[in-house]
Amino acid sequence: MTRATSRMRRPRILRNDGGSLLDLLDHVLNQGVVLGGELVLGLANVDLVYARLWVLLCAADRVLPTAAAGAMERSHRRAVRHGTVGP
Amino acid sequence: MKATSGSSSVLCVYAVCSRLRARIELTGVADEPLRVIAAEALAAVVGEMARAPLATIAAFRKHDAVVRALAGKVPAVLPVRFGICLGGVEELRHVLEARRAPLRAALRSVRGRVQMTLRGVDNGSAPPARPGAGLRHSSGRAYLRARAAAAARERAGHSLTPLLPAVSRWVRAEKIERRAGIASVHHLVPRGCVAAYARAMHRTAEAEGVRMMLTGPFPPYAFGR
Repeated sequence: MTRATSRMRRPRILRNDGGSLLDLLDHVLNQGVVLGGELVLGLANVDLVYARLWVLLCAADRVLPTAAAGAMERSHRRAVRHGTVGP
Repeated sequence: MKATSGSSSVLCVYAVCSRLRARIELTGVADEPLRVIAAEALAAVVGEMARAPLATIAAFRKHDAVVRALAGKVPAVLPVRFGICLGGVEELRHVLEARRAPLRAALRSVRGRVQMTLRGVDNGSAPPARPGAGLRHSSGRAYLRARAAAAARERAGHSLTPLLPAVSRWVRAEKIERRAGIASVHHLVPRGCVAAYARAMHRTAEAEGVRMMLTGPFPPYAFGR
């Protein structure tokens, strides 16, 4: 019974309704996308060079931490130390 | 010369969790059964595929569905970037062991928390500029650093600023983006506070006359790195 109640109280995150396309693309861009491929250079049907390529498509500020982001996180850590925020 | 999209079997990684005792009965982007690989008190949810997945909307949706389902099962989950594939279990274990400390710290930061996203039309913002246009950068890395710095500068001051104090008590981390006239604010909030956060946000937006759109809760896509 307790378990059933607990499940009922879980947040809407459990629902797998997909969300909007905007949210979906926002999530993808926040994380970035990795595209993979292989390149084979050959001559007369003889493979000479093989390269495996990975390309990361992502906003620059997501992969290169900036001073502003660092300052925000430091500020948050200070707030945690002073007990102004909880779990 | 020919280009192919890959031919050998790869492990597509969907998410990293602290621990996953419960069985997962999920399928991935290519309808492959997912399994859990554990290492160093961490667990990665993976699917074996013939080749790396193509970047399509349908594939993004399936990847997102997996991450959401996992977020409903465990208190802390880190979504992994779409398309991350490794050569095998040993390679995955090596990565988990090598990055154990930052991954565990990231898991601690998102534990029991979800992401809420607030968007608004940023009328006052200038049209997006091309940072560094006309300048020659010494390297590609220098160019990307210039773009990252420009993006950070654009975050200062936006149409949603008046709403933020009303929910600050629930916000454990915040990320702000301004792109193409849209301001987006991502907040990491405790799962149990989502309803109170949403109520306060809607009430304040109405009082301040700010037009905004609030969505969530989501897994912590904007956090945990």
